[in-house]
Amino acid sequence: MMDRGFRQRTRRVAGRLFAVLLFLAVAGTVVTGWCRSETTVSASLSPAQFPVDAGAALTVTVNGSRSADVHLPSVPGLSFQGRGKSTRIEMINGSFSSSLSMTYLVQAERPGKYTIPPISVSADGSALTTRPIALEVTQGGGSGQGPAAPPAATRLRAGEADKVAFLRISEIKGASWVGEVLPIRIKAYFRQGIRASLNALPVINDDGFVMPQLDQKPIQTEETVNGIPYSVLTWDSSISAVKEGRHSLTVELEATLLFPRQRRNSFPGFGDQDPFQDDFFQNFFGGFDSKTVKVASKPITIEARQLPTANQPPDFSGAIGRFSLSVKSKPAQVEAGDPITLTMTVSGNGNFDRVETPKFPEDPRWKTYPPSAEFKQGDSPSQGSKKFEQAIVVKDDGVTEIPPVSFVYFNPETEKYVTLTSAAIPLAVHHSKQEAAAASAVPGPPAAAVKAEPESHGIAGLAPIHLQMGSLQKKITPLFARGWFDLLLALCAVLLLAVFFWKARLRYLRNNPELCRKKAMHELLAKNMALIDEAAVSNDSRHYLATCRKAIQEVLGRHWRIEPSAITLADLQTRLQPSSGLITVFAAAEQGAYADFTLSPAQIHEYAEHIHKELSELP
Amino acid sequence: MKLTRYALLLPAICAVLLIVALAAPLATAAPAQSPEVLFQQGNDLYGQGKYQEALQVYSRIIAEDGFSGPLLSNLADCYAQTGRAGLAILNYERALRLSPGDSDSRGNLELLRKNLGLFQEELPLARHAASFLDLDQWTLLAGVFLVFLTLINLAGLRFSNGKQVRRWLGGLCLAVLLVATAGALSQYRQLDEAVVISNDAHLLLSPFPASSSVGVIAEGRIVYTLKQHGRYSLVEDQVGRTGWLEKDKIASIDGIAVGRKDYQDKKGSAQ
Repeated sequence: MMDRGFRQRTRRVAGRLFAVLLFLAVAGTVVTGWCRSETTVSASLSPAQFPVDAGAALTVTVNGSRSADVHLPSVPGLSFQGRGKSTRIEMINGSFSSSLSMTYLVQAERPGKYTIPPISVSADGSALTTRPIALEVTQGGGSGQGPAAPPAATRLRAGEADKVAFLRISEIKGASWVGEVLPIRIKAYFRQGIRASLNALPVINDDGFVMPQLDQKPIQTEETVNGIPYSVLTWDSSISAVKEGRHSLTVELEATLLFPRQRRNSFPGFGDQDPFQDDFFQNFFGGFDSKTVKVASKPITIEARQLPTANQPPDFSGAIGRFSLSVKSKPAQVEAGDPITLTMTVSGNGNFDRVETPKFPEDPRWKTYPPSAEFKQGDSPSQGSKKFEQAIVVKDDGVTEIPPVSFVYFNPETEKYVTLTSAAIPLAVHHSKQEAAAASAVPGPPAAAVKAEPESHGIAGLAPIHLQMGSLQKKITPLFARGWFDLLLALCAVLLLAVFFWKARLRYLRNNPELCRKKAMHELLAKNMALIDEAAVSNDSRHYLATCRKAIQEVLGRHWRIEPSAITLADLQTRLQPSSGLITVFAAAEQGAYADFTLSPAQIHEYAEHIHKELSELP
Repeated sequence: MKLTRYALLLPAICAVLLIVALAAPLATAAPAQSPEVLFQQGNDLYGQGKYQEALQVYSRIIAEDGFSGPLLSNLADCYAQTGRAGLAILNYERALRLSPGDSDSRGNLELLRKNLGLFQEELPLARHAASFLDLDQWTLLAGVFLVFLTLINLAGLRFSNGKQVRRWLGGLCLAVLLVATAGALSQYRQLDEAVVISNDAHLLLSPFPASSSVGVIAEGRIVYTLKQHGRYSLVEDQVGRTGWLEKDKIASIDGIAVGRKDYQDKKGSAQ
């Protein structure tokens, strides 16, 4: 009992919490959208010129607002009929934007030039106006189109009015030749607001015609058909008959359509003004129903005929269309045996897959090689140019021109075979020096070539084979990837760096004489201290004292910049502190030089300490 | 007593083992022929006009023992004589990688290309200059002048006179080093070079069998491999055309290795 009560309370609280969150989310979304977007209004007329028996679509678009009142002006001679409105909400990078479009059909009573004055629009409490639009209404063309259809917009055909998707193909002539390329434009229309995904690309359902594989990414546009906006996918391709006879051709496309699920009941208390019937809420809460459909074009009847066999040239390769031929060669001066590049370009409109290399005439004075081919497509799949590059070699130095080449195609308009023939290209051929030299210098072929060559495919003039095999290796390793080479480079790099730093150091020392002097002093002191240490172990007090004296003279002489041997005890007494240990040592040394003098080990140690301490502390 | 017997047996066992150890390799090596003998055999067959048999002998040496510039050149001669131009050009190129100064191989390659009409488009001046030497030659030049530069700098530490001469020589070495490095970098693409070895090679728009062809590429043409996808390679030829080619229709110039089981099979398939 208590458990059930707790569950009910929890459910109630959760329900309220959900409602609050939902409200906050929706309110936040709308407020964010309103806060972030500035309201603007624009109007466009398509087309700006139309016959009196047709019409044009006037679209008023309000950006940044989801509701607006449009006040259409009154223009004498023009009438406006509302054709609906659409709302679009987009979320890009978390930012919402909304726009409202209202479409009107504009019709005129008589031809002439008109101007639609600025249209005033009230949105979000502000009054906005569009720019004036000029238009021209011409005389009726009597083309059979309905009176109210905008020329840019496509008129719905019979049976299409109730469709949310349909497919059209461009007009194709009723008769064709087998192999002839017929350009075709396939357009698939999907009513806006309905999501569609293609299950497959459009296909032809007649086995008498073939179509190359269509582009996976068709051109996407928007079109208005009888006031209804459609998203349109367009493929430009070509078809060609492979079988003779009368063919009824349709193009089919399979797609899955997602229809918004409409809520049937309005919220109580709102009646017809139920805001949840709006597209925005329908998209959010309504969900979708999916349906797989097969959209087919209206059948087109085409009579495919075989090409005439009468007067068909033997070199005809099956090319049908309208073509031109240009031929170039390079170089213009050669020696006999040198190759020449013959560039032949066939340009135009037709079935390029059947365009083959223009025929080079059979001539024993020429040797030809298989050509390479490259096709460059033009504006449409059947338009472009195919370039053939063929190597030809002149064998006779008596040749003065490259002979004309010919290309045969069938012109479907004149229903005749056409042979295009290039002009002969002048050529200067010199006698081959190599051949002349070889003929005079070498009386006969080498021994290996004298023997029978039953397997030979005829390449003469190869150098003799190698008789020494050389050292074998396991793989081709580039030099920079070999260990020893990398080691050498690394060594050089290290040495160069070392030299660089050494020279930099020398330069630094050269620019700092005080540092050099200190360094020299340090070295001098170290050298003399080593001598003192040596003298200390000799147990010869006189020698020890003489060494100490000399050390003091040398270091102080360098320091005072005077001759070391000129330094006397008097100098020390004058320049040093009276308490300096150096004076004591120097005095003892002078005394020891003239009298027998023996130092105890403690004194030796003490003197050495004095000398090292005081000399190393010199500034 | 026992110890004495073992002391006698031990040297005898060692001697037997030593004989077995020495004889074993001789016994196994006896049926196999040395590469030099096979090479001479191949040359003899070539001289008799038996190019296909000579080709098999040369291929056997490569598969079992390794390769050298002259060996690859002779193999290329066999391919040229048996009409397999793509494989002939491939092996001449490989021979020149190993022996860039081999004028016979270079002459044969030029002759073959001329006969096939595979002459090159005119290159821009810089690329033309870079093509005088191959990657290894530029690298070696750079290495040699780096060593010279190092020695000149080291000499500057030891000798104080001749400073001006050293400076000039150092500058010269540095200039050559920079030029050689630039040449090596411009020839670096050589590592991706491959030769079309099929006489039915179509450049495709996409790496799929049903893809449409963007052109034909002649056997023996050099291409640069850009990337791989399944059994296709995206290649660019020397005039800048790109397209997908089946991998078995091209062979990398540097992609030769001893002991590859598919070495002979590959050539066979390309026939």
